[in-house]
Amino acid sequence: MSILEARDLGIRFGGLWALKGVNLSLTDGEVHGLIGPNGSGKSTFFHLVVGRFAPTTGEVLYRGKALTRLSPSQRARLGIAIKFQITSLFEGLTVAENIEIGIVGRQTSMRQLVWGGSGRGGPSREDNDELLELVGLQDRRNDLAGNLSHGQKQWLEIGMALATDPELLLLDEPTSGMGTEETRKTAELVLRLKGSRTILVIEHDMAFVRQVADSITVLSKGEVLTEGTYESVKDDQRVIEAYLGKGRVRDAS
Amino acid sequence: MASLGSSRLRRGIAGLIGPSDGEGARRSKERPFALASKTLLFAAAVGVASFFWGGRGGVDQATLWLIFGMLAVGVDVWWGYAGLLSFGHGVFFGLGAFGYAWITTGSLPWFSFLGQTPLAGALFGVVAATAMGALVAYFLSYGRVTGAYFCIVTMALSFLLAALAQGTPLFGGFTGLGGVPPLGIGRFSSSGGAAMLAIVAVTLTVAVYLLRWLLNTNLGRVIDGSRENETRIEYLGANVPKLRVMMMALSAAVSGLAGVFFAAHSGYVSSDLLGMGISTEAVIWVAVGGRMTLIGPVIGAVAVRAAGYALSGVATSFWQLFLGLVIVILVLVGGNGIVGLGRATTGWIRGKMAKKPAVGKAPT
Repeated sequence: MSILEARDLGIRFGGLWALKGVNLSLTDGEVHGLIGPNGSGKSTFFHLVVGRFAPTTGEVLYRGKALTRLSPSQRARLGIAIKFQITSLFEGLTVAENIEIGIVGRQTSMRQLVWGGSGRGGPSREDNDELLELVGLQDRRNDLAGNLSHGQKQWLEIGMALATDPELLLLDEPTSGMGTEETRKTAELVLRLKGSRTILVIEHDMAFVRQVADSITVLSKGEVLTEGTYESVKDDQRVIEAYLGKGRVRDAS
Repeated sequence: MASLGSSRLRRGIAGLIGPSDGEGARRSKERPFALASKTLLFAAAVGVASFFWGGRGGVDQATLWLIFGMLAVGVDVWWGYAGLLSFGHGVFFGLGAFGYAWITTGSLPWFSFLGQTPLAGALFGVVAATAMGALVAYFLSYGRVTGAYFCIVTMALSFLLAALAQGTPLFGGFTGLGGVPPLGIGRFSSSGGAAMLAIVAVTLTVAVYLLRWLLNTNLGRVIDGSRENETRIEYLGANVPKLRVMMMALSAAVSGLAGVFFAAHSGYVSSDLLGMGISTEAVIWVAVGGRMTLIGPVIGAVAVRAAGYALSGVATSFWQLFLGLVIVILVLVGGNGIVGLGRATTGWIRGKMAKKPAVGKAPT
């Protein structure tokens, strides 16, 4: 059964269709890559899923349920979590507090929030440590999130998203601005999560995509160009043209 | 180095309406008992000092300052923790005061079934203020009014209500309502003096304890999140508007209770209590005492009011100027008021004593 399904999804900003007639379906438990040149609508697709924008046409279904009328927080409570392209953290709070907020953020009942303290249904120190270790930030737990390096901020945001225990995790360029070693660690993290959650990842680093993604959707100018495995997509003439421009001869690697 | 000054200034100003610089949040899990003890100690010290300084009249003055401190605690709950600067807390203070006055003087025929006891008046005042707080927060939170716009709307609300009250007989028009009875149960009544100071001090202590306790729960963490990054916390699943309505209701309840005490203590209420003057002054008390500290607003209110009282005799016209100067310095330095200064100092001393650098950097 598909966990996420976009049907004829489109959004128009002024005269520009940022996305048009997009159909996309995610299988439970897969890691799906969303690639395409800059401006092809990848991030816009994420924003439509989490509810930052409302679609002009079509709809997004989550486990068969239409999301259109739900607010971002309601969608998050259904089990959708996102790491934004530009990291969005609680920079004035510590790393551990960021994770803690991720854990309790989904709770909306006042009874649970007020009485569910540490060890009483609330987040325990162990939950927190486990997540910090997963994203490799256990040594920075008492530092302000704002003082982390660019790569560490991205990991923290992934950790925060994971703290909500999501079924569907959206990662918007998790390795942007990272060095080789950091990218390798991020790929390792995604591979560790594989199977337990469905992951949709936007990424420009093709080696990374090849490593983690089970299947790939290529967007270009707001429309789905093609879909398939990495191997089938990489030699597709249309994909090469979309990335490099028609008639240009350049080595893709 | 030239840019340091301007960035400090920017941070100082942004600190007034934006998220905290992390300093307050990092210390946000102070134990409720410790904080409440300090509050009680401070209130008692103010009471004793005022007695030696001005006798019974001095104690009555000190009681008034502590009542203003309670109003400021309400402002701190909202401005400090929820992170939205309100210039309209006079509305809740005033409604608390008028609610108490109306019931105890029997000016509301619809609610005559409540009787005219001070207890019924106090209850009515707090409920009225809380309901108003929830109503205001409902429209502003679901309407996504934040930042500077929030300041302006609350300021306008305060201005509007004070103007309306001036023209309404129920609010006593320009002259206000007199003859408001003091607090009391049955035959016992406290008409000022040490008894009233004790009631205010103990209530303030209990309020600080409960607020600190509540803010230490997971609810407090989510509120931290809504202050630091509203967008982020929504994408984590928190219902920010609902949280804000709850916080504002709580904040208005505390400020409303202060209004009840004011009416009972002074025996007189007027439309000024709803207005921008007191709303603005309450914000100043919080800024002077220290935001996100709960005890800071009490210290700030007492400090500013006591200084004003002491200086008004010698320099009536300079008082406002002096107050303005204090605010400008606070914004320029960007520190967290008296409490922030105290914490920085103790941190510095501890660092010296331990012969190694202080753990927490002093807030700049």
